[in-house]
Amino acid sequence: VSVQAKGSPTTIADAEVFTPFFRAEYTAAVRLARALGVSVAASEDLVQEAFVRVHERFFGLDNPGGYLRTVVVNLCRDWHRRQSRERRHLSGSSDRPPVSLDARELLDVLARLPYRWRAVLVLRYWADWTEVEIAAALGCRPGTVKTLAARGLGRLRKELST
Amino acid sequence: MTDLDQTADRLRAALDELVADVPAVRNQPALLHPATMVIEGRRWSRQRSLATITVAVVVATVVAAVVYYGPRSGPTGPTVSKQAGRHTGALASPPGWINLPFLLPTGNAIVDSAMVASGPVPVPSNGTYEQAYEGPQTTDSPQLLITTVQAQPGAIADYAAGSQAVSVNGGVAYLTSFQDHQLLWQTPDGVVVSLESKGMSSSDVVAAAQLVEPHPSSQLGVDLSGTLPDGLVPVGEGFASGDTAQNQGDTIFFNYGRCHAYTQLWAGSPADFAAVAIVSDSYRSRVRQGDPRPAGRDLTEHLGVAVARGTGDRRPAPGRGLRPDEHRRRFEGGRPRGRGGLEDVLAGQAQAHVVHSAGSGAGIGARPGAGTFGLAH
Repeated sequence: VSVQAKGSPTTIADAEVFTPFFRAEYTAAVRLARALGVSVAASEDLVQEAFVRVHERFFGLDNPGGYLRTVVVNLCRDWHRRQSRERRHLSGSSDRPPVSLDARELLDVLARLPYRWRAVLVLRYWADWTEVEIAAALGCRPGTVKTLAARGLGRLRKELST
Repeated sequence: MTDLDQTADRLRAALDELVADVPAVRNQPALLHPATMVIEGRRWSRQRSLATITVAVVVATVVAAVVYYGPRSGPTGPTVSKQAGRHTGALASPPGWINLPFLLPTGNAIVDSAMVASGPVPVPSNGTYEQAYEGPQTTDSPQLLITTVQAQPGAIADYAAGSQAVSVNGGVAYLTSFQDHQLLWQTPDGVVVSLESKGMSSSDVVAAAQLVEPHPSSQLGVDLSGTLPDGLVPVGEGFASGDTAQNQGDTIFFNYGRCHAYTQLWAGSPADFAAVAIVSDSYRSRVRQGDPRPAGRDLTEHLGVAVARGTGDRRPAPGRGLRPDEHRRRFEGGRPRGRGGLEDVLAGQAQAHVVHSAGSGAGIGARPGAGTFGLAH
């Protein structure tokens, strides 16, 4: 692989390295965004944006996959922020995934949690990230992640039992 | 196992179900091929509507599961009827797809990158088919967009709550309470028909729906049996891939108003990339194409007397688009004058498009070349 300069891959490198990286990571990244409550279509767009950002510094990254996932998590946060603003005007809109009633019930509760809580729960219990990884992605301390995970799970249990 | 463990297990299961509707990676580079299309400018004014977003969300997951990437077959593509109130949609696989919601931003314009590549293009045989109609006024015309998409039974069941149920040709349709009314129903063979309006009364939307005769699910599109209210006439049509909302692979051949066409592809050889810009304001859009500068910063296009310049911070390359702005690809430039087209020059060559002045004609032609051509999704 020929590299012109750090962070500036050549087209050859694009074809030989970045494209396989894209293929390997794309679906998982979209699923992560989806798990974080983003619609399918928006997830695809958001992940595309994440890849754009990764590409900018691809050859300077020690762990491009980790960086990609961190970018996805943060883009999902931004997406939810925008949604919360738009939702005031979109009371009639619906994005109800075709899932079982049991899953629907849980996802509804999950969706009501603040994004950081939701992200911690998804990353910790579904994506199996470590507390350190989650903390790095969310910009907080591992101890905070631990606390949010415990409280979030407790909230889920409480809401689902009522 | 504690209650918390059980909750965590339930969380995992629910999220597994949730992500099950995410399709596998698409747009395999080896599957792309140069496109052939001619798109000419006309006028259009429409904002990206809530209703469009809503229906996109409803159908996207359903359609994603049924999109079939098979070889192209059938006739060369849709034609546009100029007869008021009578329009026949494409009956077989059209040469491209539209991405209507994203095409119609509220801002000035969008620009994105397009890529063509050598090799066969599998073209979806399914997706959404859309027909656009516009009233006779020069500004703020009433508008109607008719969309058909094949979906699973009950795909619009969520509309039952919060919508008004009305009778359309003996069936039940749902009329949303949005300011710009949307009316949806599903045919017995699964086709969801959506009428999205702008500047129309609810009664006119319902009246328009009575004229609609949906094609079978294998053909998509509709026939109209009479004259639409508000003087609406057809201004364009197109076909979208399974995902009607924005994503990294959507491609369109579409016109209405003053021209829309849009391509955003990620895969293929970098040498195959060509930039496509859509310049639009509240009343017009137009498609531009040109080479990104070697430095990858600017995209300047000339079309007739109009000059448009897009500024991007990166060069189109696999897996990425030209994204001058964070969320919307703004494209600034002179107000379009005249009409323009986007045309494939030589099949099989990497640089597949040229911009040219299309003279005074209006309308759209989307012409696949010989063999398996098309822009890929």
